[in-house]
Amino acid sequence: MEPLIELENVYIEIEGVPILSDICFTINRPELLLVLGPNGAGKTTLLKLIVGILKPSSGSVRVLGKDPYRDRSIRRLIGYTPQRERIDPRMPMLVRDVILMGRLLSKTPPRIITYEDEEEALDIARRLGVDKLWSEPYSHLSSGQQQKVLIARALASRPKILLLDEPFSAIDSPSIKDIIDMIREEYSKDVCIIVVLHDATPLIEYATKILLLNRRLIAYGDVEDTLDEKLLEETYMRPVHFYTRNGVKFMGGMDSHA
Amino acid sequence: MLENIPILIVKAFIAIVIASIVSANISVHMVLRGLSALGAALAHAALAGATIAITLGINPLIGAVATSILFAILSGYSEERIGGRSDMSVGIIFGSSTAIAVLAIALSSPYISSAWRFLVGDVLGITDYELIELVSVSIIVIIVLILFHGELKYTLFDPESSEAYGLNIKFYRYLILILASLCTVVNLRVVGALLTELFIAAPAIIAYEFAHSFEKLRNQAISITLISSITGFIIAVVANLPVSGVIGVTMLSIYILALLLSVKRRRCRSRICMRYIRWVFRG
Repeated sequence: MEPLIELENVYIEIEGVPILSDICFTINRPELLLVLGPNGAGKTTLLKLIVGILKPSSGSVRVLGKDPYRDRSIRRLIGYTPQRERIDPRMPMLVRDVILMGRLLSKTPPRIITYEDEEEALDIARRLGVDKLWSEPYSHLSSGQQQKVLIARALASRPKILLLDEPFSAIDSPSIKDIIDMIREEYSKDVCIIVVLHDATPLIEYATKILLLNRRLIAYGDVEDTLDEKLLEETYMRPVHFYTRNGVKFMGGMDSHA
Repeated sequence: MLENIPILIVKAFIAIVIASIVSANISVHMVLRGLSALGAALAHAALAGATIAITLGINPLIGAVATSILFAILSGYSEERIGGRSDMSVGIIFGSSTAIAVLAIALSSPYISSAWRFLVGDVLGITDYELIELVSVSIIVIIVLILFHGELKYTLFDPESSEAYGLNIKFYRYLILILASLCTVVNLRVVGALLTELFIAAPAIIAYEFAHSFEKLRNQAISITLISSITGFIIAVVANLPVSGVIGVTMLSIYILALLLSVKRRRCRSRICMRYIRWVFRG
């Protein structure tokens, strides 16, 4: 069987500055993978390589056996949620438009939205608790609501691979819980989920694989093997600790940004 | 009663309605992409092309379309090279297209009256052939906008995710620039190069004060442009004033009204009012 995602000796530089080097890993079956690393580690660049927005300077990226940079059709199987801050909130868009974007753009031309598409998108919005905001302007929503709408958009394209870039940044605890529930539900449906995080705490107990990154691949593997304090210190360049309180695992010692 | 209306008024009315609909549609994309100032640059390029074509004895439409598309592509390319800074590319394109327009007009002195028509617009002097050309170009623009509505809307809202879904955002950026060039050529006949900028920028800027969705923004921009251009046209014909000038002033009046009534600026307005009331009472 073809691996879902395969990166071989990937090296990428942007405007002459090396961002990532020696990235080698393979995902053979649906996993809930956490990509951890400090700010500027190249986590977002890694997602952009997988989704095909960026081309590696050397090495190869394969998604379901195809190069996502060259073969645009393979990108329709990937649901991508960029960091919320990268979208200009002043754009006049309704929540409905944003969620249907995932549905429309995953189709082949001519792209036409049907009644079934709208029903399915509304159902996804309902699962994430944003269905009541369906006709609201996107710009009027709180950070957490915007984040949920962007995740709903990614799910609306019925992805085989879901990429989430910092889905918990600047959002409240109830919204984090909704998003975690959704991630678990999708994972149970055999969707491979890759979540870029600065702090693993919210998802650590559900993760099946961890990838530690800081301009290069520091470790990739099962949770127990990778969450080693030495490896974490090498990743974050400072001591990082794991502790359990009331049965919940916490990660501490990174810088203030989560 | 309608048969008493001179045919030139009817033709001018049709031209104005069509130019308004096309301009409002393009305006939404140009304003939201931060390219509202590019309208003036493309209009000057089209003016230069039309003037050169007249001097060479060829159809001015061909000259206008060629130069405005050339400058639109140049603008897109320079924006790409500069690193996404549209203000810088517009500055260069605006200056250079104006320089070429000035040169073209200077070199076409025997045809200066034709060049003047394109500079300030001459909708009442539009010929049957010109009206057919204008309608044809407008239909092309509208059909392309309808066909790529979703793609153009989403590449505007979130280019990064659109690219992640496999859209070629560069293609859509150049597509909208080419459609804007064609819209400029339509406007050149109706309101002239000097007022084209207003037709490309004002409709969406005014509608933005009220609209929260892309479709509402587009529909309101169309309504606003139709209201201001039809009102301006009627006033101009009745009072025997230049059509383009009156349409421009009408649009300015609607813009000022929109700023006063804007839903989005309500909080800002009440803050200014409160400050004024405090200042009066303190005084």
